[in-house]
Amino acid sequence: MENNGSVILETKSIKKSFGGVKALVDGSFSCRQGEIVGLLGANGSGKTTFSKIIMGLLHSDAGEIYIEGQPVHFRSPMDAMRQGIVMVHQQLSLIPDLTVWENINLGHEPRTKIGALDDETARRKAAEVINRLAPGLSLDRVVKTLLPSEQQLVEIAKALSKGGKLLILDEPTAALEQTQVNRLFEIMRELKSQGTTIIFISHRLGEVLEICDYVVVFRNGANVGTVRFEKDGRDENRIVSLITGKEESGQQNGAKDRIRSEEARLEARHLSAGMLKEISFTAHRGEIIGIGGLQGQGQEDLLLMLAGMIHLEKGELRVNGKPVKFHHPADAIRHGVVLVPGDRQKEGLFLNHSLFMNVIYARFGLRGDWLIPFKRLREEVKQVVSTLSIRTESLETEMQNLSGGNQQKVVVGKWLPLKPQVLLLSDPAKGVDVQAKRELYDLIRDLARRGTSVILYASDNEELVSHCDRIFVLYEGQIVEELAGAEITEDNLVAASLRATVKQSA
Amino acid sequence: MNIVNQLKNISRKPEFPSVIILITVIALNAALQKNFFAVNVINVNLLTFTPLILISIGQAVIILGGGLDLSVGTQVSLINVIMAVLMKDAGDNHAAVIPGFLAAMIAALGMGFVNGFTAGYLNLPPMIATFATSAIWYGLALLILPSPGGAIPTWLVKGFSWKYSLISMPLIVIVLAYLLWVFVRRRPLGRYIYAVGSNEAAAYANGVNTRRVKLYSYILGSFFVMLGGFAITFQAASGDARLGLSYTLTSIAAVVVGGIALKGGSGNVIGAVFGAIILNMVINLIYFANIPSEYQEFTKGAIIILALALAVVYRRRESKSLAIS
Repeated sequence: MENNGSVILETKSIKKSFGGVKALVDGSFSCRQGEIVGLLGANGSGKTTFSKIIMGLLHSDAGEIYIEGQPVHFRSPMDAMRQGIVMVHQQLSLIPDLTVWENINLGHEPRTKIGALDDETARRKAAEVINRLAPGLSLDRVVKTLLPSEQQLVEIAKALSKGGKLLILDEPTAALEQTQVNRLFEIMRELKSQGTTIIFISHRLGEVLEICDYVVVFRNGANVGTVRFEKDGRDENRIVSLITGKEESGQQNGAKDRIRSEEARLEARHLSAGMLKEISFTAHRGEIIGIGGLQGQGQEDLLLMLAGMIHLEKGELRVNGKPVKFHHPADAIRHGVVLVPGDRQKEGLFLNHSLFMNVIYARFGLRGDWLIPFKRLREEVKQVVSTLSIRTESLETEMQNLSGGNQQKVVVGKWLPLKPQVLLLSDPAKGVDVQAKRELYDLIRDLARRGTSVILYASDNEELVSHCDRIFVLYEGQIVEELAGAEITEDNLVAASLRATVKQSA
Repeated sequence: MNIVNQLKNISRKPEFPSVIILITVIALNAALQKNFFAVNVINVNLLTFTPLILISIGQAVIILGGGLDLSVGTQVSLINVIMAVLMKDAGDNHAAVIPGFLAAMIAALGMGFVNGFTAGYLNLPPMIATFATSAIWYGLALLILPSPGGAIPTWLVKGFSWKYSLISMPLIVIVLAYLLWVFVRRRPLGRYIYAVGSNEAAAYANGVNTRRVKLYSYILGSFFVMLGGFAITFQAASGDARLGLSYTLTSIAAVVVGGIALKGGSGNVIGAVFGAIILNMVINLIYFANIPSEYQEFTKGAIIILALALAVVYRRRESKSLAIS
């Protein structure tokens, strides 16, 4: 149907490697005017590298790019923008110290006749997109004070306000709630009807099936296939098997095959700190506890508090029956309470240090070794790398040269040698692909089976439902409901999250 | 209610602590120096404060853009000796000072260009690159004038200390310099300086020519430093290659006391002006408090640490409370 539109973008066998790691082997791709194309693939399959090359942020080692049939050679994002290509970045490209409207207009500020900044026009333009995408968000807020979901919306708004004929959205929905996603999709459909081409990169298959005309799948840096929905149908399993390269074996629920123990690992009694109020619960040996609820109800803070990063104002915490006081994350680590932070790049990793160093940093919170026993540690790290099948050139490879999924494995894996008592996970699968996600949760289940208590916050309800023994629903910093056993379904969880808001306002 | 909100907004401004410190030092100064508010005392104070104020404005522009300039002191020195040498024989011939001004201006913009080029285009760490260029400027200054000498025509020196009641030449220069910055802030360059200082990679991804922005921030910074160099030169009335040396670190301290983040991207240039006045006043205070000379340096250091701590701790707390609210 739309296939008679002219070809907007065509790429031929683009190649790119970073420090020996091949990120892109054969990036071939084409799309036509007015199409919404889903670009899928596991982490490390080269999607982000591919889009950054199109955007002029990275330079390819080989290959050709054609825009509307003309060969192009982008040396910087300015070149790409001049051709009408606009991108929403996964690692947001916002300026933390500028306001919402300043960010939206950055790089293409309206000017007055004498060349000064025309702030009135700039604000009006920003208001237009913000009113559609994020009604109620103040234009004068400084970006660093916004919630992650609000920042994501500003990032999208910025791209939309630039117009352009090709829009690349790299994981735009990872931080968004359903209503926000719906608003975005409405705008995407409208843009499509106006002839804009959109490349939509996402790990959320449901969304891809809903919004895209067809999908292109990358695996290990190469285009491995296209699924056209009108011809091939909206076949989820076929897409998944293209992504993983394996036949789909069906989702299994992990909560069933574990024996629950009544031995208390972590006991929280009336904990309060910041927005958190009167948090009480007991986590048992080998139990996986989920933290759910609407976004921004204190889920992340709860984990930070348990990890000793936010100080308790009131209440008591016990680990294995003994009362503990965490003044510092090191105290928590010494008691076996470890955190996998939400923003792996900012809080979990030293990107310019080696894989080896990143794994052993975990033990610097412990006292003990007078000198660092590098030889023994090297063996330990090798073990971690092979258990988690981390794809890397060597132990000395710099962290930033590993793909996102492999980076995430390191963030979790560095705690393994310490045999943690309590593992706190803040949205560990955010922006991680289907396969890596499954491996990650296999690992987490394995740890639980061996006695670790897991407390998991995930922005994706499906992850909570399929892995947790119990789920606590948070609202405004309090546990307002607990789901267990057969109550754990996605519908119940959503209902409980929404019920909380009604109760509070009544 | 509205006034409360307005006060709240003012207290959120990054330069707010420096205003409080400034009021405190002024009060202390006024208590120790009887005629502190007399017109001619104000004018004399302003005259001596002018060089640091102008140099700190330059340093502030560079730091806001994510850079740092350890060569501002020797830039001042080089400008000073160039003028002192070229204007030596000018006498009362007004046109004869033009080559001196022109050469100083070319030198200033050239030094800004070199610093900006190394930081922006060669991507060298500014702390080391400008440390190196500072040695070059100093070396050039020593070549031009190995031992103190040269002269500035008396009419220029007099002209710079011209005043009519509270309106004086230094005040006019400071106001014009600040207006120049206000003008730049009204143009895209001003916003880009903040953007690059706050998050260079993001600015680049938005199509900002980050290299050029860095280059311009250094050139603009050097222009303000040059004005500071003029101010010193007209007071010293002669040339000395060591004249500017102490200004490098003092200007950085003034910028930080003024609420500008050393990592760039946040704060206001007016804060640097307050910071410069505060640091000068501290020296006045020590003088008028009759502190024995062997304790003066010690006291000066302690007071600066105190002012710095106030400014930095306040900013940290403020940004934390913003993130929570």
